[in-house]
Amino acid sequence: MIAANASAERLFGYPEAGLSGVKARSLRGESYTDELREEIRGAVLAGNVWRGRLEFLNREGGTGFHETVVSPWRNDAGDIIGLISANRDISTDMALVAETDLVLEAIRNSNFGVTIADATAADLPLTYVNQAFEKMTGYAFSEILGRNCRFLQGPETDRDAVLAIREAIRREVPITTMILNYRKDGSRFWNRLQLSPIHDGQGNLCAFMSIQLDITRDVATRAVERERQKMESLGRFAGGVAHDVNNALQPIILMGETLSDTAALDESEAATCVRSILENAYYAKDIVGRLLQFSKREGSAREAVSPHRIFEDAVRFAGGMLPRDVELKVSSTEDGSVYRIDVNRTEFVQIFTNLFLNASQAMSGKGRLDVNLDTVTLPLSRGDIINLTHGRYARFTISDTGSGIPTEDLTRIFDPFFTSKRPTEGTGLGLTTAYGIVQGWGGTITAENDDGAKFSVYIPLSSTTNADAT
Amino acid sequence: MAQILLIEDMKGVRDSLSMVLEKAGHTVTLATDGAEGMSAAQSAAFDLVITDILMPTRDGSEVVISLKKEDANRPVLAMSGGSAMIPAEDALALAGKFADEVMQKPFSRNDILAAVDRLTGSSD
Repeated sequence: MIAANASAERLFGYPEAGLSGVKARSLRGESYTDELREEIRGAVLAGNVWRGRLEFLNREGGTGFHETVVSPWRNDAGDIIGLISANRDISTDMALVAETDLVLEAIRNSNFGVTIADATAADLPLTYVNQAFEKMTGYAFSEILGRNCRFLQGPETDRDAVLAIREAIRREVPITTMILNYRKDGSRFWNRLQLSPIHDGQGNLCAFMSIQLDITRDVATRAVERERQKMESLGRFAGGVAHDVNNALQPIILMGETLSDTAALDESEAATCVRSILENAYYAKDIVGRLLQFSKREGSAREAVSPHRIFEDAVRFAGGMLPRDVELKVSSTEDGSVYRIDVNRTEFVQIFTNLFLNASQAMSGKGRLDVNLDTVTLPLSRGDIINLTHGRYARFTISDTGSGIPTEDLTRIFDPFFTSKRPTEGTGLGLTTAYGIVQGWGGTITAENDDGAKFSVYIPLSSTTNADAT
Repeated sequence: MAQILLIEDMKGVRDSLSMVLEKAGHTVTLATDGAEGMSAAQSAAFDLVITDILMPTRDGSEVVISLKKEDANRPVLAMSGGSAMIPAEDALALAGKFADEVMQKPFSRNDILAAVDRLTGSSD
């Protein structure tokens, strides 16, 4: 090296020592082979200019790339007496290009559908969709370029999901949702969509990017799983009925056979047999009766009633069945006129009777029963136990002063035939039936411990109507 | 005639079965659940234990296993009415592994008396 300017010295990491006398070969990385060196020399000595990328090796051992132009150095006579090399460090540029290439490649080849819509233009036209999106929807990019992504919606697309997306776009916030979309051929698919606003360095909204995945198969799997669970619970239900009916039939058969076959029965023994047969026949009748009620509840007609009025009716009816030593305290914070709930009156009263009798039994027929009616907007802050859609609900609570529900039973208390009672006290169909009925009304029943057991019945309020309606 | 311990939580079944057994000349001791049945089994010598498989305080199949562990030679007759919690066939299979005989409810008077005779070897 004969001479180098200051910036070349900085470039190679020799700002103090200088480059004079340093061998050019030692400034280049491993990719600077002898062949490459000869190629450059040959070209330049032949009078040409060589341009290209050369790996450099600086004094500290760091490497990177220069964009290099090597040209002949001529004397005044025009003879080539050396090589002049001009270098520019392009390491950072190259890394950026590599990163951008990688990101673009990743988006292009992702299994997720990716779209980008221009947020600066009216109605968010699509400016990019990747291959997975084309494959998922059946549309080619050229067909949908410049269109709003709503062409994926169809007749059965959930309006609420569309509104939620629209609201997220308006507020410039990300959203993840599941939406029923339509392919180009009209077939439907479940799309799990993640939409995210893209802001530039100054915080201005410039685009919306969405990542989409066809989850139709998962949804179908879940539906099958739900069906399987339903069948399983039906099987358990049938098993429970069989158990109770078999246990009712057993004494009927044994006592009947004893009556007919045994000669040496005295009068009181015969009477015992007859009484037992009748008792158990009625017990079986009761089981079957509840079963029928359970099976036909879907057809039960509903009407809009005042929660306040039906609460009074139910408390009067169910309260009349309580033992003398159960004190009933009724309170209401609902004004009693404007709201309506859509229920079946008979079933409503039956549910109350059930809950009242359960509570009375939990207190062994002695204690206090607090019943209350109010209206609430769900979800409450502790929305974890209540899985209901947002809205206003009438809430009927029934709290007893018994020993409460064992924690491990709280989750199975609504299962068919779950019971903690003595066999003569009930079959366990009551709570399951009540739960099923209230769910059919769009509500739910929750159980918790609050000193004693506390049951809350939530029923959605229908739109406010005039006070004359019943 | 046999000394029989009957463990059964359903009153109707308990009363009718004990009447049938007593009318046939057997002596019957009653227990209303598994725990009561286990303590009764320890306090007296029985020729046979008849137990329901599903009862509230202690799973009947567990009672069957405990009874056989305690005295493998004392015959145990298990009865099942089917259940909501375990499919009937599972309960029967489980009890059947340990019990000497398993009967599905409802059974007839002749069935149970024949089973008792078989298990206690008393044909008199």
